[in-house]
Amino acid sequence: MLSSFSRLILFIFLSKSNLYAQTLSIVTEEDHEHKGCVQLENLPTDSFQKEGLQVFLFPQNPDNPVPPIVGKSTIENNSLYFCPLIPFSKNLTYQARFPNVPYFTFKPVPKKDYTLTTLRELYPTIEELPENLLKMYLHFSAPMSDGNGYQYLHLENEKGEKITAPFLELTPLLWNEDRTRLTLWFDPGRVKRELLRNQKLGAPLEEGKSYTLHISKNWKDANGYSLANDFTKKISVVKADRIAPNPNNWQVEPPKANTKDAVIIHFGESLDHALAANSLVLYNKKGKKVAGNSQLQNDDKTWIFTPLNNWQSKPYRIQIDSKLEDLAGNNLNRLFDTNLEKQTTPKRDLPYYYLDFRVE
Amino acid sequence: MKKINTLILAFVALLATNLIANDGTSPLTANFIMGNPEVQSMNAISFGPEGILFVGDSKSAMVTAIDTKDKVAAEAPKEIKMAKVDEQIAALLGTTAAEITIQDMAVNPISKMIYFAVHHSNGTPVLLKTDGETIQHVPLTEVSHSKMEINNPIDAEKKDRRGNSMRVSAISDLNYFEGKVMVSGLSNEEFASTFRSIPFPFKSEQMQASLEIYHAAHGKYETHAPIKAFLPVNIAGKANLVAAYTCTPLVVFPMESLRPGEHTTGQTVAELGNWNVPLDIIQMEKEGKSYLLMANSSRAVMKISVDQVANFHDSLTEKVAERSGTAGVDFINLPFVNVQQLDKLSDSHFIMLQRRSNGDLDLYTQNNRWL
Repeated sequence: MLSSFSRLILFIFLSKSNLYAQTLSIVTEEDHEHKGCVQLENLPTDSFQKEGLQVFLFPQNPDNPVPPIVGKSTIENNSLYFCPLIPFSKNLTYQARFPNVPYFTFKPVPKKDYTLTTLRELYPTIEELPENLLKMYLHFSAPMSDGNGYQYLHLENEKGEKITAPFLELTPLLWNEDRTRLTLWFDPGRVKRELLRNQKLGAPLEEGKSYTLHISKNWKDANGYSLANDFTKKISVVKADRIAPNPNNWQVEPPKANTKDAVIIHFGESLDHALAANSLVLYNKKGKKVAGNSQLQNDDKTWIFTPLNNWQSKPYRIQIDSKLEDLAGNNLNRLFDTNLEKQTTPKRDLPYYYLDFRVE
Repeated sequence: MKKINTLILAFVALLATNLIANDGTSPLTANFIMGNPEVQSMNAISFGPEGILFVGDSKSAMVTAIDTKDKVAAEAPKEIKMAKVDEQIAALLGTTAAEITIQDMAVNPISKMIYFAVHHSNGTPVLLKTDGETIQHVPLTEVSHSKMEINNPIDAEKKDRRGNSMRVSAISDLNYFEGKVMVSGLSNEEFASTFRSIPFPFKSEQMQASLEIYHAAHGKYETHAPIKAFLPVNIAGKANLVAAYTCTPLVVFPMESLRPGEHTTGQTVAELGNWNVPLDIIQMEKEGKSYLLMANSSRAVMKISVDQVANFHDSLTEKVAERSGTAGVDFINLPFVNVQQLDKLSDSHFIMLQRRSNGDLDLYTQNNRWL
């Protein structure tokens, strides 16, 4: 955004006897240490250097003047720089002031040829989802703005009516580090049985019904630009999933020895996209990690691991982190909400589970 | 031999601490260093002793202790009324109110200055403070500080194609209590509770404990869930942790029952109603009685008597008759809705950041006549 600031230049002649040509401008060079800062060039005297350069929002309300913008002034090579703490916004006008120099008003110019951000993928990708669905992941093509994103998404039923408060609106939002992936939770107080919110409002999704999740393109990315498109996701609700994932029920398709064919694991259901991508690790008989690449396919129902080197005619072991969850937040150790009265399987507390196969 | 070495080292360390202490420097800040702590986000802030501000930084998975040097004792202003605080902050940062979010607010109990952790929409964190009159930026470029990394609950580090971490523990609350910084976090992947107790001054990573805490709903279902807000509270002379979960039960744990690696089930003392996310909990006292005040996303500020919590011995074992859509200990709704931030200003006053019905975000005080 800042690279497209027009280089605004103002020549100021201080007096007839003082022909220092002072230039006020915004630094636009990509590799400049002070990119995006206001620069006052050709400082004439030491006394000038003691004065600060101040920048204000413009226009000011004379009845309610606002203080100068927070930033840092530095002097380098006969130039005085003012770098704002927050980059100047393309939607606002600013005024730089320096003693004995006419005010300098500027407005950053929006970037040309800006590639708008898109919502690349939404997980789970499958349309049929359990009534007690807990999470969704929204993957964006570029970093998004840090603020209240919930206002840009809503859930509608078949009649086009908005569902009230289906999501837990957390502050801060559950972004990844650079805000390209958002984790969206259905309100766990409504999903969990017997909690008041569940009793009073019911689960956000009801079995047998269909919904559409709408995501508005008005949602801004980190540079303040709206998304390229609106996004919708159809949801058909099926029976609640109250069975913990069990690796003993997974199907393994072992590869052939002396090949680099993939080993394929069929989970038999879609698992949590983020956790499934990261919870399985393959070891050889000596307990050494097998080098290779893994990926999820088939709506996160299948894990495919392709080794870098040929398989040997030996046993192998897949270690599965017990934190791996299905779409309803049930993990390998426990269900999302455990009915203590009807508990049939003992609660476990294992860090890992294992799945063995042999390559022939 | 190793033992002797350790003893000698411990003695030298003790001696050094004392020397520093005698030199006028507090042992709490003895291992602080000067410089820029490179805080990448400020999701929760809270004051410890001696004007030390703890900053919960989800993005870099750090807790940073900052010596604000703001430790001249002052009386709290009798009344604070600041209108449109978000607009005032935005003007100071050269942007609009829509582009900033106030992540947290904390009162320095010594100077009574009110600190704000603010994020710009591009993710830049900014620390500000006010005396109730003007708002000032608190630069962190050259401050005395100490940092502690929050251990990732799962060691497998996952990064995207830009090399950024996908897994983040979003810090939901942070409090200092008797030599420990307590941090609750929400994973952006597994649905899990991470609650850490980190001894302060920060020493080694091994010292921090990750606790698994559950709550029981009506005695029938036991579930775990992330904690949104919490407060260490003395109940009947014993240290307890009062935690508000994201699914809104209010749960009490004796501090001594929280041990690393142990499954701890807390006592659910109340459920807090619909469409609500708990935001802040504070403790106030009046005429020898202690109260919890809790700010909520969709409900009024709630007042709960600590005596009632102490006397509530039955965890919610049966479906409780509906009481304003809530259950468990009684609580009183105070006439303050849409309170986004709440903190104790003095023994007699609390301060609130409230979205008023006209849309303005105002900062103002209330006194303990509400207790």
